[in-house]
Amino acid sequence: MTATRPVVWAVVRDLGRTGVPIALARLATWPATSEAVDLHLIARHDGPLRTELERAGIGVTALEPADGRSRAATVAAGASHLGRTDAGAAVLGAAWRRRIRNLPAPDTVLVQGAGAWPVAEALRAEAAPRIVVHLHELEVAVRRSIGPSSLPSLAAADQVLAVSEPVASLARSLGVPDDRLSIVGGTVDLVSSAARGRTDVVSVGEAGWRKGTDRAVAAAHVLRRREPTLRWHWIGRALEPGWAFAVDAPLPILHHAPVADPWSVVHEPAALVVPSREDPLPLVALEAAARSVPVIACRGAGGLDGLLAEGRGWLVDPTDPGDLAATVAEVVAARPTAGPEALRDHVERHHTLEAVGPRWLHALTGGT
Amino acid sequence: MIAVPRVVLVGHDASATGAPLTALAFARWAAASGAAHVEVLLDRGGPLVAGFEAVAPTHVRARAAGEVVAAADALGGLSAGRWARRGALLTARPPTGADVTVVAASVAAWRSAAAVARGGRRLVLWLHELDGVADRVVPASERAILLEATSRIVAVEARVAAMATERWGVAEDRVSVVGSFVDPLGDGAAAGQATAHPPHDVVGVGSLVPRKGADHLVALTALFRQRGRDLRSAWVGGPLDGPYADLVRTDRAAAGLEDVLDLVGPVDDVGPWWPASGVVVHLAREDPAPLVVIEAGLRAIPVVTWDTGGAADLLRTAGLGHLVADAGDLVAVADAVEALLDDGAGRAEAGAALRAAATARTTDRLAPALLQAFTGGRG
Repeated sequence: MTATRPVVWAVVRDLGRTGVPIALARLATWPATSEAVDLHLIARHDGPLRTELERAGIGVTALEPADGRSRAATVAAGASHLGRTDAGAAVLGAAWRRRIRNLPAPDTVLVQGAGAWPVAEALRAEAAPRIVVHLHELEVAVRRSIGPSSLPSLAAADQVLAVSEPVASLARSLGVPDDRLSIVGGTVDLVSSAARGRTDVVSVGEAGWRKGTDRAVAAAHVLRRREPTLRWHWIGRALEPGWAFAVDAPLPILHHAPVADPWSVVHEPAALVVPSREDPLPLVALEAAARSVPVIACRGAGGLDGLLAEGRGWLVDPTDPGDLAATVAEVVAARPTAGPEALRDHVERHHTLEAVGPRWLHALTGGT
Repeated sequence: MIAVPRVVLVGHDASATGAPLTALAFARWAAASGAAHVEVLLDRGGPLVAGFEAVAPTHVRARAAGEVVAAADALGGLSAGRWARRGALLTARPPTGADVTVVAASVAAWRSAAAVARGGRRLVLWLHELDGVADRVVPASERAILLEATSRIVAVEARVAAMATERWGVAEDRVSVVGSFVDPLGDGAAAGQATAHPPHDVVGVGSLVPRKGADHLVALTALFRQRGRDLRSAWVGGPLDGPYADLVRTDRAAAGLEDVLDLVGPVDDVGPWWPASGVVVHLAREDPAPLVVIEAGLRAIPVVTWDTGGAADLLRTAGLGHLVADAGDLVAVADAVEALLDDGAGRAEAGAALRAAATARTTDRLAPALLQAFTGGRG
């Protein structure tokens, strides 16, 4: 039966340990996937997930190194600086297509996240495959990755998968019809409930505007005045140049570099805090749920409003650092169980591989 | 007869931003006082070119040459950028003579200044930056090469000097500090003369880039609304069409503040926007030498800031340490702003104290010391 499996190119911006690539890796390495499709993963930038994917038998082509640039990308950057952006893009696209010329022609191209859209456009598979877009972003991130001239192509995709209802709503506003739109959320493996301490809370993700690092810093200052023994950890890539505070400025948050398992960094976290501005459905919230760790988030960021509704978590006013700090302090002190258990039940029903995987594969195969 | 020292100021551009504005103030003072003969070499042009040309022989690198250098730098190749820069300098007619002092007027101009100083001329780095900018503009590997060619570093603030000595490893006797400065106020620009339209309670001034932290002003305004206080605020500076401006507008819309928070964009004259009976906030993530705080101080307008650069040091010098919050402590900033807005007498007192400190930071007071630091007393 292997010969009849449809060939799928899954295109992703990078193989770093962030939400979009990890979401793909979980579905790609699900045993049912290799039975259903012949999957080839193409990433613009290499990264640490590559090893895990290859170990699972998935072919991976990284077009650019994790850090630095290929010769073609260097030429493209130079051309761009000289005002020859189109010529540079043509050089880069040709170089990338040479890298994948030995791959079997795809029946389906999966565009994993808006950040992969420019890569998929540059690759231009010639056999007119089905295009499936799995959107993991909200407005700012989508518009940053997909230019206005490409939005009609997005709307014309054969299938658009959204990780949460706010993302689906954005897709509708961009012209995606309901009959080609479905919700395919993130996945998580349930694990044993973690023991909960009283001294440490964590936030996880690439520090910056989107993840609301400034909100965390502001709230952590208030919290430090109120509960001096409570420590707030941030696990993830550091702020980009220009966004970082002066190096000698003392901050109330302990930063940790990204690691394969962020839950190994802090022993017995009392809560997960998600202060994001835009976060369609952070996998780390599902991971916290899987461990029965309470989740506190800023309202209005995306999929968390639904995930944490009905008492499954705590949603606070994003404009009030005092509210966030007070909620963190109260949750840490009260050590609630009902909310985290309700969230865990919800995740078990809606976000395991068994719950999500079949819908994802159905989209990739077109129901065949 | 005493020889007048020759100084070549090499700048990265002539934008109306901190380092170029201070360089122009220095060149203007040198021309007016006759204390030095200044020539100006610029990697790129900008709105201050006419100002430089009015007071000093000024050469702007040919546009095509500048593009080649920018492309070479973008590629990250040290040698490529160096050779491109040497070739490009030929188009800018560098001055001749071994007796000149070549001053890199910013870290961004350091490479070009080093190329001009080849052949044994004295090279001085006029250091306006802190780590975030300095490391990005000149990576550590290249910095080591440039430091070898540099006789002296003149830092604009003590914490900038500390970066050079503590984190770059430069010997303390090669580093001096001469504070950043602005020209004294002209007639009619004194305290309380501002005519903001419409009047704003809280104003931030600076480029609309992440480092200057306009998003913090949005968060501050939102926090005031959450507290039930609808104050009017404004951010003066651009560009309004950059990606960061989009994020700031997104924040403003999400908080529903379009009616009370103005994004003014770039202006030729900040004058009308100074809050005559309000407060300036300076919430940069990193800002070594905030001229805007000196400007506000000269107008006796109080400033609330956090501890990320020279603004905090200036406020402490003025005895206003209570107006300095920890970095990122938005609630503490809001409390300090609110206290000032609610207390006219306290606001006036803070403004007067800041004016006393800012008065010591004018061109006429500091430019002579700066010239001395540049030339090392060489005539």
